[in-house]
Amino acid sequence: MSAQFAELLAALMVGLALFWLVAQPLLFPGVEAPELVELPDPEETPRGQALLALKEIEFDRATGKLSDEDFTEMHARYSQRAMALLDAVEPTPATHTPASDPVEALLVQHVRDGGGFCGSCGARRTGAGRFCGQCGAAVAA
Amino acid sequence: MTYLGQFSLWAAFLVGLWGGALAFFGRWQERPALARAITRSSYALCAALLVASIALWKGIFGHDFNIEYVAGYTSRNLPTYYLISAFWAGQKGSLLFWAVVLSIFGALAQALTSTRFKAMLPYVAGIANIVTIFFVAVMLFADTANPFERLAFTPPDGRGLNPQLQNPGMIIHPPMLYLGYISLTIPFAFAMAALLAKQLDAGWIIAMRKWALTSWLFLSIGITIGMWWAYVELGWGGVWAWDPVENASLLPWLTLTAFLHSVMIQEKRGMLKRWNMALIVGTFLLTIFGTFITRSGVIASVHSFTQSAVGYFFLAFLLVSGILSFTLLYTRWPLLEPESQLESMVSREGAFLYNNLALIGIAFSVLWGTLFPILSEAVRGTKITVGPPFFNRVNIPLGLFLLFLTGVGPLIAWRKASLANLRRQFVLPVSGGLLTAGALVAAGLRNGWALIALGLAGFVFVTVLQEFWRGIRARKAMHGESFVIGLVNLVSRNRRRYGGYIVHVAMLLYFVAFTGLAFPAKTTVDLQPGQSAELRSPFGHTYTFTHMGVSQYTALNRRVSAATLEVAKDGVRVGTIKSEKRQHVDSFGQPTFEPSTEVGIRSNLQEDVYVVYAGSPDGTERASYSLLINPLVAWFWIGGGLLTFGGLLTMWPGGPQMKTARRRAAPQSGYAVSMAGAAE
Repeated sequence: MSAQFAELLAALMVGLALFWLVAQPLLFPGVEAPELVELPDPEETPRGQALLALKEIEFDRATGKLSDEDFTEMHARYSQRAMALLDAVEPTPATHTPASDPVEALLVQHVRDGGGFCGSCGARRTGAGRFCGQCGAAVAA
Repeated sequence: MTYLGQFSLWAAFLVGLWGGALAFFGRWQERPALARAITRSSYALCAALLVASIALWKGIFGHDFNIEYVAGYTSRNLPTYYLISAFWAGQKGSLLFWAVVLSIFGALAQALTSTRFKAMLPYVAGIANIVTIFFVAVMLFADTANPFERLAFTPPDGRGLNPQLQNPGMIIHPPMLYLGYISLTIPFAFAMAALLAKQLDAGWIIAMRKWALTSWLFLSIGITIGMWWAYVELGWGGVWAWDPVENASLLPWLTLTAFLHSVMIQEKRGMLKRWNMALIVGTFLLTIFGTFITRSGVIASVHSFTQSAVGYFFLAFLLVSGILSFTLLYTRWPLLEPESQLESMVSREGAFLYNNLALIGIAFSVLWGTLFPILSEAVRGTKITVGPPFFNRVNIPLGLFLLFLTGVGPLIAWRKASLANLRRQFVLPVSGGLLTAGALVAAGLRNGWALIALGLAGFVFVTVLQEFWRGIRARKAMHGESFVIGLVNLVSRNRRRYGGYIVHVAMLLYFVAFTGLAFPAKTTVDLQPGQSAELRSPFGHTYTFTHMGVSQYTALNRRVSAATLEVAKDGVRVGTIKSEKRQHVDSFGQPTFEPSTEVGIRSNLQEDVYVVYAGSPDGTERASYSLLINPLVAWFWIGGGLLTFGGLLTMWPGGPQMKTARRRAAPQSGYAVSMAGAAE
């Protein structure tokens, strides 16, 4: 078998393989297998975005980038938006229940929490105490 | 194997055309089988071009000199690793390389993209196919562009590879740049697909984010290795000459860097949608522009392939794709309304806007300077080339402004920042910058630009340190984590931010190295064996160079004259440096190219000793040398390594902020994956 003939044979086989690859779905569509549909990552949903915004504001406050006044004002504003999203009807998987949605649970927690932080050491405030549980400094009411 | 290669090119052309036509005119939205056929066309296109590439490599490794490309770029005595790089060393091979790599990226985009973006994927396949078959079409239809073209006779040996390309950097630099250029087609394809499918939420950005980062990383590595190659191979002692082709690689890097910053504003705030679309279209067009510059010969450059009509194919493609893309963008303009407004210019968003302005300003000035010879010829009939003074005058201030913003951006909160907080955030970084500049003044540095550059580098460095430190401290306060656990969690939960900060440090190292390179010490000397010359470095060291002699020998594919210098630093011997003149020959001993020079370099973190052997009078061992001491050059390469690390960190899979929540959700609510369509 000459090299040229072998090459032509190889070309023919490549051509047939390519044709099969492209035409097979059209010539033999068959029964479609159920398609796996990925849902968006939680942080890509409006609720996830709202949660990220609140976490970001809290982190900026903790790293000293946001003042207490700015933090309070922005947290209230973004909490309000988050509450609106929580109230809105959002398409969810059939198995979804509000209690099982961790994004929703986290969002509620961040909104309720108010995200208070100690102005002295940056630790998160828990409860309504007048002193920071971490460093003991007095905190604004 | 040229028949198989030719056949595969034609098969690729037809398959790509079929897929592209189906994607744009096939009404696949109502027929899933058709959508699958379009995806398959991407795989088939890739397979066909892989077969064509194997056919060319078979010709190269088999020394089939009847193939014009193989005879033009290889020879029997060319080392094996340069036979690999010969694939993309010439015009024709690089066209095939471009096409095959783009087809691989196109296939990967189909295979790796989440099914939730399936409404865009056939369009992505169509656009990637069309761009790929454009390159195939150039090979098939342009004069002298087909890598499988045969000669009327078979020469006994090939011409070999240009000596300047026989450098390890040349095995990596062109493919890296090509990978950067080529992979940019995929973000562009997603942008166009989003416009065509009218899916203009954040989906397309999520789908193409890693592609854009990949392109940026490849471009950055490619540019850095190109700088290294220019430094070690070209013998002028610098890394960047504002050559048109260097500029052509910088342009898409600048606009892509702007995009990577401004896209964060779109992701977080739903703003700048039109701007981001325009940036990604512009970036893609700049890659085609770069290819046009390299291949048309319209502008003289050390990088250019020979002048050919191929360039005009690229010009036509550039114009057509520009008109179609911007027309499509215009028709979707009303759908790209911002979702929120800028709350304050003193915010992270504001800093990013200034960053975009600076980057686009630099890009415009570079484009203007690059195109000036063409524009001046069109307007005044004379080709006027603007040199480094123009580029430096415009871009040094803009670059320093950008460096300043690199330090400012991370210190400001998203949305808005108050004066009191700004003061608290800036105290340490500004002190760091002032201390750096003050220390340099005390050390005797008096150049204003250098003081600003190095002072700003100090400012940015302290900013990044402070960001890491405050982030760890915040995690400790919020979660009670130790320093190490806090650092690991800080970075792993926000890889984009902290990987980005590492890239910022890498960029400041580039600035430091460029500043150092502005103060070389140089001299030219003519030495007899045993004679010495002295040169004082900018850091105050005195180097003594003693000429040892010139030796001549034959290596694999070259005749070498090697001149050796013994080097002493402040009177202490540090070693020898060898620089060579090389005459490359074919396997019959006949000269193939003009003689070339190999530079000798000794490098440390402070300065490089850079020796260029200029030659000897016939039959003597007297040698002429150019001697240079280049400060801080090693920091380019350290910066390159750090940039690669930071870039990879930003792209590393996993680590989203809600990973824990998502993992917890999976068993109950079916997050991650659920079954659909089973009822059909």
